[in-house]
Amino acid sequence: MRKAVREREFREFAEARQTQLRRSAYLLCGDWHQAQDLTQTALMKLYAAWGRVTRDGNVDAYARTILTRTFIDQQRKQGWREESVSEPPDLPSTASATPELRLMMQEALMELPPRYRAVLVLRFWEDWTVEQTAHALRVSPGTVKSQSARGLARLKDIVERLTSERTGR
Amino acid sequence: MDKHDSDALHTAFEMVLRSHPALPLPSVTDAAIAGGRRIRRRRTALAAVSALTVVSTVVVAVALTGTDAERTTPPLAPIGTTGPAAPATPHPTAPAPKDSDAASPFQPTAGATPHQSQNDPHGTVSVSGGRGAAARRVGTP
Repeated sequence: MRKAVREREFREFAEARQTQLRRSAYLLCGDWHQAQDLTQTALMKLYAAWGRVTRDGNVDAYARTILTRTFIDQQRKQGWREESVSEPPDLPSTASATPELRLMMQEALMELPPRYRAVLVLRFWEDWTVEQTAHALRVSPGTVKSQSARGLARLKDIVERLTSERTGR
Repeated sequence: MDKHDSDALHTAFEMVLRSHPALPLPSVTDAAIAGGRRIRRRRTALAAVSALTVVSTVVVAVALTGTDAERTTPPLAPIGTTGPAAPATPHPTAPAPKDSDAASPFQPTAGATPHQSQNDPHGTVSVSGGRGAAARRVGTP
């Protein structure tokens, strides 16, 4: 009985939130298929801890925390750097005013080290506070602040470099 | 970090997502539930094995302790004594007799001076190198 309730609750949550989770995962890893795997792993871990998570409340934040930690763990274990920056996008860019700029932003984001990327995504995409981000990444708030600043500075440098490369072509 | 940077970054993230729309990927809910069940089963099994290990360790430890208690031999008496060793007090302190008439073996005999051994015509032998009252009395009549 409890198992059935747990499964129903989890299914409702997963169906409602997996698109958002996948978008966050895509910003972290830069590939939709990897984002799909990451989302599935995060939801799997969430289901395993569902009873405790629902007791504590704020399931959504917990899911994003699991997602980010899983991403960082995978990066650390596999030691892979995304090669997708040099690959064509999954779908052709939609008709837009600045497709070049969008592509460049994606490239710049993927050039950042995974941890910086995770900090920036949590802080500026999810709009989490420094404390929430620190808790999710298991670091101190000071580390989050410094990594945000460094990540942003490095992102600006990369964008400038890419811009100069493309205009100089 | 100012608000401008924050807004710019949020816009950049939106741009990235807009430039690469999500693929029509299938739902992962069923796979997640199946994987989550597997994790739970594994965790339950691990907890059971851990509990079993702890219980068996405790049982073995208790059994060994009981066997050791049966084998325990009484403590040996110190060399030179006959009975079992009495619980020893570290420094048995007996109150020093005050103005007692009983002759203490460490008190000098009447008339003896601290330098008696030097003046003793009978040649007192000192066992401890000539120091101490007891040593001075060795060999005295």
